[in-house]
Amino acid sequence: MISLPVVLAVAAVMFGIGLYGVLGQTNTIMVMMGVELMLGASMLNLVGFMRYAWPDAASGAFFVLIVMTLMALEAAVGFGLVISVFRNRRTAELDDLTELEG
Amino acid sequence: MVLLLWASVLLPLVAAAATRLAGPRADVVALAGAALAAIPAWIMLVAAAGGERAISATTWLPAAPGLDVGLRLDALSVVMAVTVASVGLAVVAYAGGYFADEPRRPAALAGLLAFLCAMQGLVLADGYLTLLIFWEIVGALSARLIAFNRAEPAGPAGAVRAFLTTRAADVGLYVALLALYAGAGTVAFGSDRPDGELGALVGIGLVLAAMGKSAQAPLQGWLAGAMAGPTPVSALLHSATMVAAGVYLLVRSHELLTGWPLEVAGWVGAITAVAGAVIALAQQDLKRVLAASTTSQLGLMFVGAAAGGPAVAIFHLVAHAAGKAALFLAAGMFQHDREGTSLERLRGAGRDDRAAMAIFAAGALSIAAVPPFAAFWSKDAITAAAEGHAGWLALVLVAGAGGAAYLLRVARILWAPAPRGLPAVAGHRTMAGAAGTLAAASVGLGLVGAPLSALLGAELPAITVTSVALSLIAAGVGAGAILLGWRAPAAVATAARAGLYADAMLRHVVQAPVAFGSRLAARLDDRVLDGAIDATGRGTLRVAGAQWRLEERGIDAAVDATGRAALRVACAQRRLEEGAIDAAIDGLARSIGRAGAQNRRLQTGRLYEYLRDTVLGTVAVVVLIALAAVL
Amino acid sequence: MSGLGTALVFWPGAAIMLATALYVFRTSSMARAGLLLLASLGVEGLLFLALASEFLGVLQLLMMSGEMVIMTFFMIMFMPDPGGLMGMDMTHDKRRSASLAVAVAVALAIFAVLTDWPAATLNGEAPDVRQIGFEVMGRSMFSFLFAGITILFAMVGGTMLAKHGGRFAAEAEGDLR
Repeated sequence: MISLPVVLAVAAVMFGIGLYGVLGQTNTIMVMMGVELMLGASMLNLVGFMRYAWPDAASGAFFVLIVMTLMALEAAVGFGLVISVFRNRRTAELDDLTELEG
Repeated sequence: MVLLLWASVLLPLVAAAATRLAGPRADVVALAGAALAAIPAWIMLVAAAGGERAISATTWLPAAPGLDVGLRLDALSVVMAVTVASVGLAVVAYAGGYFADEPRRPAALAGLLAFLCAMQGLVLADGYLTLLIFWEIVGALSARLIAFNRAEPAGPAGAVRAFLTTRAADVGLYVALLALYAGAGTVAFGSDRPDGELGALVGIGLVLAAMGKSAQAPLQGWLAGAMAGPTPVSALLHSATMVAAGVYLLVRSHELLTGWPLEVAGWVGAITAVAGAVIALAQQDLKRVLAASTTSQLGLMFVGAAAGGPAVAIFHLVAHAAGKAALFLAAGMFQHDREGTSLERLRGAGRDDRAAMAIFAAGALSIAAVPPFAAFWSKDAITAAAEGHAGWLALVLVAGAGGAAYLLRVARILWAPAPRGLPAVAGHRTMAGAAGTLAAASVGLGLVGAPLSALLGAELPAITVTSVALSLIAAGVGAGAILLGWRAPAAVATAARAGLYADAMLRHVVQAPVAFGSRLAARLDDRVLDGAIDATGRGTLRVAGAQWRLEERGIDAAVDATGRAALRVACAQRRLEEGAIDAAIDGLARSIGRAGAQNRRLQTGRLYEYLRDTVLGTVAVVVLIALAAVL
Repeated sequence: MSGLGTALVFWPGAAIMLATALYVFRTSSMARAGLLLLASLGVEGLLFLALASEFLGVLQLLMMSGEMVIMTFFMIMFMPDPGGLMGMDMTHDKRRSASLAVAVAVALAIFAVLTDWPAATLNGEAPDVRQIGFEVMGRSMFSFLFAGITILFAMVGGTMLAKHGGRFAAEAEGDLR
């Protein structure tokens, strides 16, 4: 059957996939998708904790709500940045954004 | 009752919003809103007459119960609320006609209604904190309304001046509140004045704030500037309600101010009453005459508050509100007739516009204290109250004479046989209706004295034969002076035209010392500090020059010899350096450079590598923490 | 839901979720990637339902369907090769990022399995919507208000970032005034 470690392990794998996307993708929007996956993994963690460790705590659900808010914020600000960058240089590829090079 | 309290404050605000959005039918909406907003005040008046009192306050800061905010219903607040709501209703009705051709009419009417909201909050406030909040809102709205007319060049200047003057005086209210809170631990109404310096601060601060808001000498100049605003604004804000807030503050703070602060307020009021009358006699603009008259009458109210107590001041406030608002509204009708308010332009306007002239006459007879008009009774109460105080009595009588004189002078100009037969303008009927109501009120309001004093629970001094006789003689002297064409001495006339030099006085007493002080400080900086530094520099130069001369002659030879020797040593040293030390330093620099170049490779500018490094760093930190926890 | 029911939903759901998540970064078609992400996070919503969090599950489904569709639009707008027809590689630094990701995932999973977590059985009902409502409108009211205001700021800030020329530029055609 399912238990808390199982849920957490699944979430860990999902986090790893998201991390791979963040590190390995060339496009800003794909990187944002990776971040979404990582946040999704954290939400899965929270729901697992809520189900198997502290079933009566409604604050866990509230925490998940906050993470969802965070995802929405990340998407809003991220898209704003992407549009701004794209407008200025006609690209959203991370490999082309190298101003920070020393 | 609590509901009615809040309704009387919030209904005007709702009405303002609705009016702003109403478009071409803004006048109807505004009138309906103002009428609706007046209902709670009247219901509360009836209830208060039946002994009803209520307070709706919250303790927003649990640690400081003395700082409650809220509204209160008592005799004083309800009388003020009814005055404000009723005059406001008349003025809003009038303004619908006055602004008939104004494209920004919704904004103007909404501004008036918003002002009504703030003013109701001011008079219904419970505790000085709430009062202060609305006091400031009222001041800001006043500035906005003065500058309403964008084509009027004097508007912004007048608004800024009104705002700054009242703000400067409002500092007094802040100081008084802080001192009161420090001394008494509360800013609720009705607490006693603290002892010592704090009590003095409370007294001075409150009187100063009242002086500023009520345009008392020597701060009266802003009221004349405020006349650049539209006439309904002048009628509502700068004659009937907002400027009366100073008097209200005095009356409300009666217990706090007993003793010398009221004495000061009384003297300020008495002097202002005379000064305002003199200034009014010399003005060449109808609205400015009325503004100076307002200052004068507010001064009388100050005397009433100081000498006779709440009932006297409030009675005159109510009577004056109706009469002066009627005068202003009539002035606005003349303004529409002749497109201006300068007395020269208005010569004979009364014969063209008999309705306006009748309204003007009713208001003027009341303000000039002609029996049986309203302000006769209230001013007589002030005279009777001042009987025990010779100085104030004399000044009040002189002011009474002046009041009769300046109003008669204006009336004669308006009634001069120089009609032009201009047609009546748009919106005239609405204006006449609203203004006529106020004029009728200023006839009948004399009857409210006794009920008012009963409601306020304060005595109205009995009218004596002496006081009536003195008042009538004073008015008669003033009127006679105008009818007989007495000329004031040229010096007095010039002074009056210049507003009794109050501006110049303020400039010399306040501005000049401040400017002088800052100039002095600047000069200190320039001369003394800079001078000291310069002198040091010059001295050093001189010493250096002397030294130089000394060197030229005597020491040079010795120095030259030493120099040659030193040169030789240096050459030897240089060879040593080039050989050994330089090599070491160069090596160090090269290795640092190499390290820098190596480090630089970390900074690739590729964001994903930064991200990867961030993750690696996080992992490292987590591992460290885990190790620390395990070990 | 009984333990067996939970398992019956959880295992296939987790498998689909992880598989779709992985394929997000393996397809070269942008539209496909966005829809796969939507599928992954949507299945996560199903997992929430299976784990007795009905409210959060439904909310996740609603939120993600909206958000991911928008994301797909954006990808099609800003990708050099939205359809994936040119077969261009969209990855860089593949080996290192993959190994780091695998290392982190394995470490977290080991941590998850080996830790002795507190366990409590679900007695009766899970926190229902009503209880969450009381939480949100009661103890966590302040945080919730803060989150709301933050969303507002993010909306305004995102719009300003996206506006032609930024905050101070002159209005361009098509700008909202």
